[in-house]
Amino acid sequence: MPLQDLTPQLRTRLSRVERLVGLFVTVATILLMVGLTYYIAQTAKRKGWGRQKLPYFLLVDSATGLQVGGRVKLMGFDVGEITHITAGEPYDPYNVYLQMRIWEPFYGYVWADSRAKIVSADFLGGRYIEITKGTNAPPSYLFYQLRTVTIQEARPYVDRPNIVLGQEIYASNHVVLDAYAPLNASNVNTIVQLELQHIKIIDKSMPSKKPTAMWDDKTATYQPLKEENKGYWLQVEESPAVTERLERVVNTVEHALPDFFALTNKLATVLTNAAAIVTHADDLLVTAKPVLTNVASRLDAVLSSSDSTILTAQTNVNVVVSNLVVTLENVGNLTSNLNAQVQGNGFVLRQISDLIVHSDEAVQGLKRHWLLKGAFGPSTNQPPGSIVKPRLE
Amino acid sequence: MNNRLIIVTLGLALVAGCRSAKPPPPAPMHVEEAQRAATQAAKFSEEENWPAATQQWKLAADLYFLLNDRTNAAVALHNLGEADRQTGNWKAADEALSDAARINEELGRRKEWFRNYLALAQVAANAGNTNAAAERLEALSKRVGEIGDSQLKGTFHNEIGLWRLEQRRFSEAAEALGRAGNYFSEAKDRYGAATVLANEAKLYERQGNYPAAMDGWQAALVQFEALAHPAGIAHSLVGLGRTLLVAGQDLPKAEDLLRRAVRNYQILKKPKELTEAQALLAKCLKAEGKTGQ
Repeated sequence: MPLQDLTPQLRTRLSRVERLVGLFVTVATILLMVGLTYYIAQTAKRKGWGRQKLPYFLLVDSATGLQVGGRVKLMGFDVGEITHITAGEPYDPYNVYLQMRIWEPFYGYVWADSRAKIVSADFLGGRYIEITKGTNAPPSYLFYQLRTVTIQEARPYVDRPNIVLGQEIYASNHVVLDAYAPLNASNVNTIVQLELQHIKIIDKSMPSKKPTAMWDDKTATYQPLKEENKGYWLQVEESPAVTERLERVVNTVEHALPDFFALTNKLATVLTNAAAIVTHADDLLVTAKPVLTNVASRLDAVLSSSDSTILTAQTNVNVVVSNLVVTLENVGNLTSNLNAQVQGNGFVLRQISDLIVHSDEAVQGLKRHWLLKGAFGPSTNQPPGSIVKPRLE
Repeated sequence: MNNRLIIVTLGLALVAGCRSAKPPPPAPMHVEEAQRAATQAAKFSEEENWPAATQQWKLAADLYFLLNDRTNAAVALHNLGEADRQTGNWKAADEALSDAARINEELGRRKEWFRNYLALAQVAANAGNTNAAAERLEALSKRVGEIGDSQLKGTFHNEIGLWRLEQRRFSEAAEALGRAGNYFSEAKDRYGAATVLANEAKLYERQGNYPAAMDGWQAALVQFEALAHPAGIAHSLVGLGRTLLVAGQDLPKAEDLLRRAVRNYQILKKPKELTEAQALLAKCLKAEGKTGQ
């Protein structure tokens, strides 16, 4: 029925309803948009969208527990993610090549002396990368203009506060000037004495948003970035996954056991030798009775034989003791590994405890909710009342 | 206007629905201690472990008195008196229940007072103190009109019925027990209804109406079996056996019933009831001519 055909009163009422429906749809849309925006903002923050990312790579022994998209942490923050994991060439000394990206501004903390630790994340063998903050070395990437100049060209820059060295200067095998050392007259004289033809300098008055160069550990200089930049090679301190560590513990025990058995076998040999000595001594005594004249010489022979036997026994005991020491060291390693595991995963118990407590709080909260409390029924701990029962006669 | 009201109501409902009520604050340590003692004592009473219940109710009463919580102290004293009654310690039971009644009288808790006095009447009846029982039932009858609890009313009329039965005023006893049965049915108290059936069976037995008594005992036995109430079952077995014996009918069955009752009372460790059942069994065996047993 067309709207014009309705009575004015009904038309007015319908218009109100339409306004209300329109208002509801608008509010719902706004809420939806706000929620979506918040979600996208959180995801962007988590994934590092819109931030500059710089590549780094690691060479590790094992990719166990690591995966593409895995976390990279620095000082407790999520600072990047693993982008690529692949096996190394068959004859490479390293087994696994791992590429990752670190987000702005966290790559500023990664210097040449930073280390990547691959640490255990959980009992299921998961691992993640933890990078240590650089302390006493040049930053991995350079964000200023880098120039390669001759000594003559460098002279006009002497004593200018924004000009620093873009490389380390060596004399024989030791560093005489660090990177970022000021280009003052004294340092230039040192460079001249070392007869260097070219040096690299950094002009700090010309910062750049994009990285201009990357530190090269081999040459101890900043090298301009190539087009296909694999990234900076971070040294690794690898911690095996829990399962792998447990396997190593078992292997250690397995290795220790044969030593222990060998030890007991040697002890048995010593005892057998001792028994043989006693037998020989007995025979000698029997023989000595009728042949008194030969006593001295025979006794001498017996004593020398005993002496050599004792020496053998002593040698065997030394071997036994040294094997025992090795075994005890293995056991010590085993217990220290277990201790490290417990220390490393100490938070797991706390998290489980928190989970139980929070679940209980959630259920208790639901029990108090006006809409849901009816579903839980009355409390089972009603206070006891007075009891009187009818009497049987 | 209506639309605004709906929107405001919906808004309030949403706001109210978004969060739970705050958790109640934790009870102080000593209150929790007293509550634990009372809960433990109630468990002992339910298990009919009367010596343990006596100790625990006494502890609960002491703890509540320390907190000056006289309401709960009166509850503990009442249940202490009930536990003392079950162990045959009439004097202690009387004292505890009298204290509870006095406190409830002072606090104006009429229903609780009625309960205390009803228990006092039971103690007096158990102790054979007929004057005290009569006085207490008299006091209760003046206030029974104020009580709206069918279970309590049923218990009161059951006591009246038993009192009339002792006085051999059978018609009044039958009337009182009938009322008690109605109140227990109203309260859906199956134990009360079974008890009234047993007491009615005893009434018929005293009147010499043995067929009705046998039916009554049988009905009571069925009810107590359904409730799995050992003391009620043993009581009904003795009642049925005794009626058969007195009526001189089916003595082997009476013997069997009485033997079962004796065995049950031995397990239940009820010496008074055991002695009675054994005496009846001896009579039954004599009536059967089994004098050697």
